[in-house]
Amino acid sequence: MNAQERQLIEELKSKLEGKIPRLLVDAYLAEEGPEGIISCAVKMLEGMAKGKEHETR
Amino acid sequence: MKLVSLTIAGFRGFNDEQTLDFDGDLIIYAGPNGAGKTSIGESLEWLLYGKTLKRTKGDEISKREYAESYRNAHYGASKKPFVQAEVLDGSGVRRVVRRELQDDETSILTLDGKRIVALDELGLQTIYDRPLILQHTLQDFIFMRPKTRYEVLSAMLGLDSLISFRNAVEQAKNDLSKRLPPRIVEAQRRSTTLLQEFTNRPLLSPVALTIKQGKLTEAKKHLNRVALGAVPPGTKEADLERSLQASKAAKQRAQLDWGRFSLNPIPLPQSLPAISNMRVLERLLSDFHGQVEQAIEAAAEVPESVPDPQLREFASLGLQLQRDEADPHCPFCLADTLTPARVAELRKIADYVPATRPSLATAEGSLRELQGTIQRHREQLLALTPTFPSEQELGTIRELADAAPRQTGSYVTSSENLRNELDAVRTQREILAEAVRTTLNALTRGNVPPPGGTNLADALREYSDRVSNLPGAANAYAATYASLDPYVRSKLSSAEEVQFLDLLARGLDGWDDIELAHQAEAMAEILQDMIRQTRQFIETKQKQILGVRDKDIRAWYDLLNPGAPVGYDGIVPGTDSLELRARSFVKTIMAAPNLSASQLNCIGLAVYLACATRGASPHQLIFFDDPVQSMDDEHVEAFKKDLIKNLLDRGFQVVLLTHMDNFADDIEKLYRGKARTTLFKLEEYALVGPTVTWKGPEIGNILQRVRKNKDAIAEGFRKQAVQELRQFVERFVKDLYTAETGNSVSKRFEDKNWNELKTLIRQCKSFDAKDEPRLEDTHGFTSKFLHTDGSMPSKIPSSAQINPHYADMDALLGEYKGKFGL
Repeated sequence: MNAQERQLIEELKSKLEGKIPRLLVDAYLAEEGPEGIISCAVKMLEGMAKGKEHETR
Repeated sequence: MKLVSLTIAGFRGFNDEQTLDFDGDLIIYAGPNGAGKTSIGESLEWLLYGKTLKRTKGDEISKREYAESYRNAHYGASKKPFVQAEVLDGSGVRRVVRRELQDDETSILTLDGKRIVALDELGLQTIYDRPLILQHTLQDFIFMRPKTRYEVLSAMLGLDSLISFRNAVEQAKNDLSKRLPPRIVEAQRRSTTLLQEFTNRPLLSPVALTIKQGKLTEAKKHLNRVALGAVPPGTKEADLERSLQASKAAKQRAQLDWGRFSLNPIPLPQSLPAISNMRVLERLLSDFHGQVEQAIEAAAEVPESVPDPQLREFASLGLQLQRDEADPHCPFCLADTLTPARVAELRKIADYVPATRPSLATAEGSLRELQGTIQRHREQLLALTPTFPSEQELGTIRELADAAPRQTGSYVTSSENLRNELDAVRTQREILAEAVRTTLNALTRGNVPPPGGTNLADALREYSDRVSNLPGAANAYAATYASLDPYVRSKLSSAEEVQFLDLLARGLDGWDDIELAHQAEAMAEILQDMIRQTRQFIETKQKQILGVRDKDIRAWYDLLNPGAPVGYDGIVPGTDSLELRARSFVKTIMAAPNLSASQLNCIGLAVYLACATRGASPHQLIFFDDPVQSMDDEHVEAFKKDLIKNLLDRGFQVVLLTHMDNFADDIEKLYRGKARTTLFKLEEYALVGPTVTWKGPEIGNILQRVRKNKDAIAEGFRKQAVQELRQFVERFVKDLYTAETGNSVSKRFEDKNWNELKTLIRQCKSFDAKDEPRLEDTHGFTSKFLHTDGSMPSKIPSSAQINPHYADMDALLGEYKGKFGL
C-alpha cells in the first residue's frame, strides 16, 4: 500500500465510530489483508474473556 | 510530468537492459501481438505505483497467472530487475525515477538516486489520476462483469485500496467464527443453551428477547428481578446466587410424590372382593370336607386283601371327621380327622377300595380350586394396600408437615398398624397355602407330612380372622392420610420449580458466557458495520470524484461521438455498484447491456481520460495501450483526428502503443509536421526482450529498405525491393493526401491500381502534375513483376532495372520532403 492509499484508509478510519473499528483498521494497516483484522479481533475477544475470568476470581 | 525515456531490465517481457525513447509530444510504438508492448505499459505502471492492476485485479485465474511474474524468467539470477525513467517534472527539470524489484517482490524506489517512499515530489500525491490507459484495463471495462467493472472503476478512481480494505473486512467477518478461542466457543454454546431455556419460560422469555436485542444491562436487571422473586424476601442481589442455590436445595428436598401414598376409604367392607371372597374360600374347604367324607364312607368296607393290619383297622374303625357338635367323649371326635396324615392313609385305602376314587378326585379338584382362589385373593387384597413411605420419605413428610405433629403421628401410627396387619395377613396366607399344598400332596401322592403342621380348617380360620381386621386398619390409614394431606400438599414442590430455580442459578452463574458470546457477536456486527461504513465512504468518494469529473467524461465521450443520439449519459454511484447509464434518444437505459462494444470502448476511454486529465493532475502524459481495440472506423477516426489533437493542444504528451500498423502510420502522418512525433516499430519478441527495429516515418524507411535490397544477388531480396518500391509509390500518394487534407486514407484505397490512386493525388494541390508520370512509371514497373497470372514476365528484375526507379523515387521524396514534414 502506498502513501496515498494509506492516507485514504486513514481518512476512512477517522470517520468510523468507536474504538474497536479504529483498532481493527490499524491492524489492517499493519498487516494488509483479512489476517491482521482477524488476529486483532481474536486478541480483543481473548482479552475480554480473561477480564471476565479475573472478575470471577 | 512527461516521459523522456524508459529503461527496463529483467522486468516482465524485458530481459536485457533496454532504453526506449519517449522524447517527444507524440510517441508511437507499433508492433505485432507478443512483441512486448504490454510489458512497456506495465513497466511504467509498476514504476509509478509499485504494482500493476493486472496483478491485483481480475479474477483468481488471472491473479494466479500473473503471480510472481514481475521478474523476467531469463534475467540473471544475481541481478535485480529495475525500471528507470527519465522524466520532465512540472517545471521542465529532468529527473530520474527508478524502482528496483527485490526478491520478496517488494521494491525500492529512488528519485535522482535518493531513496523515497512515494513520488510526492513529482506531484503524484493522489492515485485518482492514473495517466495509464492500458490494454487490459480498457478490455476489462468493456467486457467485465458489473461487479468487476465497479472494482476497476473504483480502482481507476483511486479507491481500490478501499475496495481491498472492504474485501479484507468481509473475509475477516466470514472467517472470524472459525478462529474464535475455545473459551469463546464454549461461552457461545452455553449462552445458546441458556437463551433457549429462557425463551421456553414465560417469566424469562423477556430476558432472552432483551439479550437478543443486545440490551444486556436491561436483561440482567430483569433476570435479577425474577430471581429475587424466587428467593426469600429481603435477599440482597449480592447474595442472590447463594440464596438461589439454597432455595433450590430446599425445593429439591420438598419434592415428594405424596399422592402415591394415598388410600381410598372403605365405607362398605363387605362389598370388597377381598372380604366377600372369604366365603368362597370357606365354601371350597367345606366342599373338600364333604368329598373326603364321602370317600371315607365308601372305604368303610375294607376288603381282606388289605395287607396292612393297621390300615385295615383304621378303615374298620371308621373315619369320622371332627365336628364341632360331636360328642366330646368320642375318641374320634376329639381328634382332627382331616389331617394330611389321615388323608394320606385314606389315599392308600383307595388303592384297595375303588369306590372311594371319584370322591377323592372331586376333593382334589376342590383343593386345587382353593389353592387358586387363595392366590387370587392375594391380588384382591391390594385394594386395601397403600404404597407405604420409606423411612426417608417419612422424614420428608415429617419435615413438610412440621406444623401438624399430631396428624403426622396418627398417620405414622396408622401406617405402622396397617403395615403390621398386612404382614400378618401375608403370613397367614402363606400358612394356609402351605396347608393346602401339604394336603394336596397327601391326597394325590400319599405323602405323609411330618407332624406339627397346621390343618386346613385352622389355617383358613386364622387367615379369615386376619383379613377381617384389614378394612378397619385401612380406613384408619386413609383417615389419617386425609387429615395430614393439606399440611403436606401445601409444602410440596415440583421438579418444575426445582428446574426453574436451577435455570435462574445457572443464568446468573453463566452471565459471563452470555456477555462473552454477545461480545463475539458484537465483534461480527462491528465488522459488518465497518463494511457498511466503508461502502458508504466509497460511495461518497465516488460521488465527490464523479461529481467533478462527470462533465469531463461527457466531454471526452462527445468528442468521440459528436451529436450521437445514443450514448453515454452518466455514472450512478452506489455502495456496491457503479452503474453506467446511457441515453437512447430521450430514454435513459443501462449502458453495459445496451451499448455497442465500440460505444463502451468510448465510455471507458472517456472515464479514464477524465481522471487522467483533471486540472490538478501532475501528469502531462497520457499513455495508451491499444486504445481503439473495440472501436468501429468512425470512432477510430475521431480518436486519431480529434482526441489526440485535443490532448496535444492541451500540452499533454501522448504515448501510444498499438498492434495496428496502419493506425500507427495514420497517426504519425497526421501529426508528423504538427508535433514532435516519432513512430517506433517493434519486431517479434526475442529472448533478450522486445526489439525496436527502426523509427521515423514509414515513407522514409521504405526507401531505406529498397536501397538495402535492390543490389542483392539473391532474387528474393530484389523481389522484396520491387515490392517495397511499389509500397513507396502508394504511401507517397496516401501520405501526401493526408498531409494535404488532414484526412487519413480510406481502407478502400489499399492495394489499389494506379488509376484509383491517381484520383487521390489529383486532389493534392501541392502536388506538381508533371511528377505524376514519374509515379505512374515506377508503379507500372513494379506491378508487372508482382503479378503471376502468366500475362506478365515472371523474371525478377535486375539491379540495373531497379536502380533508375529507386533513384527517381529518392529524388522525388527529396523534392517533397517539406510537404511530408520530414
